[in-house]
Amino acid sequence: MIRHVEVRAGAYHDSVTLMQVSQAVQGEDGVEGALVAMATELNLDLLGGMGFEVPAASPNDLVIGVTADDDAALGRALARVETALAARPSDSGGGFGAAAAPRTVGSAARRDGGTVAFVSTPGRYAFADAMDALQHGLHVVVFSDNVPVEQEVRLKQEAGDRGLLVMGPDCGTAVVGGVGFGFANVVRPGPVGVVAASGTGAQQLLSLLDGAGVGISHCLGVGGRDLSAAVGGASTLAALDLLADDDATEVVVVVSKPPAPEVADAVRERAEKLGKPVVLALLGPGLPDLTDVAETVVTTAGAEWQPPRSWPSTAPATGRYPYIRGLYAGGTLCDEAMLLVSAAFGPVRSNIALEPAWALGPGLEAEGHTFIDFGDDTLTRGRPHPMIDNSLRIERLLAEARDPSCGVVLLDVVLGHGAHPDPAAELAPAIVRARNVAGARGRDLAVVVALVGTADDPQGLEDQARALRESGASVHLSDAAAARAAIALVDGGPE
Amino acid sequence: MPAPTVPTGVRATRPWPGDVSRQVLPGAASTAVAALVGGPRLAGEVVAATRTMTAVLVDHGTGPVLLCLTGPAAVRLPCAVVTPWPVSGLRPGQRALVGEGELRIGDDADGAVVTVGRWWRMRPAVIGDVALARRRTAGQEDSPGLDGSVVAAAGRLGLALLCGDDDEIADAVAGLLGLGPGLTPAGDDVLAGALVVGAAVGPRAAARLAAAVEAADPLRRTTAVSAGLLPYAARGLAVPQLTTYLAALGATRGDAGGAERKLLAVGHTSGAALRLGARVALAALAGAAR
Amino acid sequence: MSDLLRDEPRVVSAGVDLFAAALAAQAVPVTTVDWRPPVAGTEDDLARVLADPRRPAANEQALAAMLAAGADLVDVRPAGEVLGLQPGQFLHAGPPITWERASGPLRGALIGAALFEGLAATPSAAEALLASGDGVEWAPCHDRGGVGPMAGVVSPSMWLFELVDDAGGRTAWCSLNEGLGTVLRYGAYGPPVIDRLRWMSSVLGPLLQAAVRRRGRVDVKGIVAQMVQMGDEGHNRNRAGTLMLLRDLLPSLVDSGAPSAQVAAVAEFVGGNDHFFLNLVMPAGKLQTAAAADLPGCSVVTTMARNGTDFGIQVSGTGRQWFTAPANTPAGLYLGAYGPDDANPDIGDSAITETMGLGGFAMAAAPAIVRFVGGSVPDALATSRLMYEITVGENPAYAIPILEFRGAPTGIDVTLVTRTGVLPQINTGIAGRIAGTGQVGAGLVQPPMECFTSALSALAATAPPPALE
Repeated sequence: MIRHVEVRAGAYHDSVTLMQVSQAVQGEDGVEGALVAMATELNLDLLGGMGFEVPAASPNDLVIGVTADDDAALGRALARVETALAARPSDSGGGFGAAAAPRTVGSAARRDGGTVAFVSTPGRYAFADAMDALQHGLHVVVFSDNVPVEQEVRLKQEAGDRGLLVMGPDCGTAVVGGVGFGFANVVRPGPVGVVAASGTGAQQLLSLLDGAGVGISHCLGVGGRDLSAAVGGASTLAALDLLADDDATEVVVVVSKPPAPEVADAVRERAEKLGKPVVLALLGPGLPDLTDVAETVVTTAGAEWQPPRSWPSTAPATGRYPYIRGLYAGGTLCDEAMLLVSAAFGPVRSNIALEPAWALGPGLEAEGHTFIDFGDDTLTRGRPHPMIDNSLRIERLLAEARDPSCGVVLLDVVLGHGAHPDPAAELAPAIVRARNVAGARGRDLAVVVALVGTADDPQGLEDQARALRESGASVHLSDAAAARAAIALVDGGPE
Repeated sequence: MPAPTVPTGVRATRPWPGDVSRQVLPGAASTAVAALVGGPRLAGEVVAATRTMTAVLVDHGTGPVLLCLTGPAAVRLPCAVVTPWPVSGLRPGQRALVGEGELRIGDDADGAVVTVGRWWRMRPAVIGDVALARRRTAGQEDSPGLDGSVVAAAGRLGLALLCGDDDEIADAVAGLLGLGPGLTPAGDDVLAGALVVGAAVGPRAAARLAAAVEAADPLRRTTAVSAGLLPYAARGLAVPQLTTYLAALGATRGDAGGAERKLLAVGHTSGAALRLGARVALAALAGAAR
Repeated sequence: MSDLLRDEPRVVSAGVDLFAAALAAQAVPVTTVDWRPPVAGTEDDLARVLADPRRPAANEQALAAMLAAGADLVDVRPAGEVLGLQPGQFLHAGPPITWERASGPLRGALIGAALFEGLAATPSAAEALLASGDGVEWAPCHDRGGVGPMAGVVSPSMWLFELVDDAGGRTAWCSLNEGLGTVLRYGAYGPPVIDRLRWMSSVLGPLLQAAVRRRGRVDVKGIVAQMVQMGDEGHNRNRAGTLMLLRDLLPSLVDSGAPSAQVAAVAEFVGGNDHFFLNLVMPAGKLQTAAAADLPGCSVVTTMARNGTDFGIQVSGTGRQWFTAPANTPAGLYLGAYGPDDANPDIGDSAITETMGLGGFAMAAAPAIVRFVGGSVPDALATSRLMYEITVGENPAYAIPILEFRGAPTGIDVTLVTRTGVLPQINTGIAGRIAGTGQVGAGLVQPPMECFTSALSALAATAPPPALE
């Protein structure tokens, strides 16, 4: 009779493996008893109880005890330990070769048990992909724009029937749990649940809340048309119900342009019965801006509000600044800035004009205060979104530098998942160049940047802010503050 | 919208420059460890490495804190940073740095960098109707597959919780810590189950039990992984199978049977031992509930 | 269904890869769809069909009915008796067709059938009779609840297999297989062809009838399930199925009291024709797909058939309406000195095997024949896997061993075909272009996309208008 004990330092195995190993070793001919276990005090006692000399070992070590009839049996037993510990579960690749990539959302869902679909196919096709997702039991984020409204209605009806949520169409931003979909900022976990009909509006709000130390439970995008009379707020109401039942959410914010009156009533009614404080943040003329909304939410959540950070330009303001030119990537941010500029100076020309009479011609020729939303459908057809591709805006920036009527360029830089990996690396040199071009013509071109992002965004908020400042721009984490800074620069200030 | 023409790798994963040998992958941190991962960089050490899990003990100043790297298929531990595929080839004893949004393990030659790109919410256990949960577990048979010694030690814990003094609780805890084979010995799982129920139903009794566990110095008595999980259990944080089971037990229309089957499927005996600990604590503490 | 706000998301991403990469960078499990735009011009019809609220349940019902359908061989009888077919009446493969547009092989088979029925004494007289249309008429087999391989011509004196599906209470039929080479179904009509048909009517048919009646029903679906495990895909390879049928029938055939020389001849004929069982797989497929027919809103294909000129499909939600387009010519390998110039466009009802999930769809089950149709084993695996992308479900009764016993891809969905642009893959024989030639090869072919786009349009027209809010 041979008693063999060995200790293997730091060799961890799960209990299923160890159980199977012990059984396998005990099944060998000539083996009387075996214990393969982690060397906890109690297991060492057990080893002692089996007649072994108890070795010195820590609970993080593996201990092997074998009682065998002879050397041959012990050899077999130890070999068995080795093979059993080394065994890996067989690879179940599913037959020969790799399966082809799934061709449809439904096929992918069936294959990998998806729970949420993210659809960013061109708008005229997106309905099929989104419907496929719903009919396979998946919630769906429809990033695509240009989806016909009747298709949106049908999608939301299907989702309602199935107890699913459709975020979008034209949902640029969603954060579900900690997962960011589309253009989404990296936000800390917290009590605020957001329902947003605007992607960039949501990003500004999330960034300001995160900057104020208030975290997010979820941000559910619903698409810009959800609160229209045609769609009837279907996703907004469904999202409110979801947040009502979500124990992580303590305060709810709804961000939207003013809804159709009958929809507004329905949303207000649902909000009153939610059992949680709901901040209805409607954006428009004479209404609070997103930074005001953020302040309300922060105080509602019981935290202390501090104005968002901003960094003044390193270059002194020396010139005359006749007109503001807004070069935006985010539609809601553009809208917000235009409202402030229009309140100060009157008409603001734009491709997404506040008043039909202020609409820009197809050539987008600047005239007085002029704002261009480069993220608008008509400018993204056939090219990437300006949050990913800065080239159009840079081109325009240099054109404005040569225009003597342009005094201030106001632009947004949006960080987060999905956005350009390092926008400042492209924009900062362009700003330097534009200022030089204007300077060569005897003008000072002021550049004001609304920087939308959080400290945890992959691009690095501090790095981006520094690079933009060093190019001579002033940088503001609040879009409204950036717009006001631009207004303050214009000749004579507000009328 | 047409496919953008920029490179597809966003910067959320930031590999070390010039580093090809090291595994670099994204991770999702439990909210229970998100602050640790996002905080200043702390030194730690790998204390266990299996096929599906790498455990790191971090010196937090106030005492060691456990953090686990797991693949997507592994049991979702409350202190997990989940990676899209399991990190392989790490060894106990390797140095680790945790903080500033990253976990860095080992050195350039054979290590891993996990960049935490998001969090996932870890919810503490909640038992709606404690009396109902207690009734539902009262007649439960002793967990199959559990060693008699574990069941007996669990019984002593129940008795101590019900009517024992601090010494008796301490003795019961001592009889369970490290009892059984595996990464999380069954005795520890019994304690964890009891701690989670305690946190959910009886804060005062739970605090006594937690104090007794802490006083017993689990890191010396059982595996580092198992010892490291006990503080989470004392805060009501457990594998989702236990949390779901407890929620179902305490809900009139909860599918307690289905949740129980899923719990029992955890590990070899872990699920059964967690359930045993939960039952013992429910029987002892439910009367003292709020 | 998942709890959106509690469960860990597993994401399916279709469209811009950047966003899938951004999710992956967050350690989110992402499955990326190999997305491409739908077939040009179909997006509006697709939207209307996918918006049809009847469709999901109808497709589910179609799949369930197809999986439930059985197929038992219950009798063997002359077509005149089974269908009430009168002299001068013929049935043929594929969608309806006139003599003017009929292909060489179909004309040849009709000539042969007219000779066989004694309607004309010579091929030229038969041709004149058929061209004049005087006292002769023909219709698709499918319209009479049956199927015929290649030209698929059936006349009153030809004998048919009769099959029933007890689950659906339906019957289907198919002619008896003549063997390979110079045969009527490939458009040959020379004296040996007609002599063989006579023998089949006078000896083969009656003996099979006696054997089936003596033995009782033969579980054809059961044999199909086994043959798929034995390397047959049920369209171009039916060797195992044929031998299993012979095994099942032989005892009662021997015991039928027929002269032993006839029994031996029948056994030799059946056993010597590797495709004999094809004519039982096909009606089993007809029973399966008929079970899914005529469901309002259903987008599942119930028929794919060709007449040598046109390819036609039928779709459940549009009933018996045919959607046709000019048939493609198969690509493959040729017998002897024949080449692509000798090939006739795609012909036969045998694409019912693909419609049921076998044939090209089960190519992975039949590596032995991949070279015969000009392919490779990896091609076969890839083909079967691709077919799952255009089908609504899997048939566990027909499990493909090499795909880990995954069920055959079942229920072609016109919306999936038009969304993905992936066409059904058909394994087929190739008939000679000239009437009277016979088989010239075997290969692979796909239906024309137009069949699916026009079916989709018709289906869209049946969809209810969107409900007004």
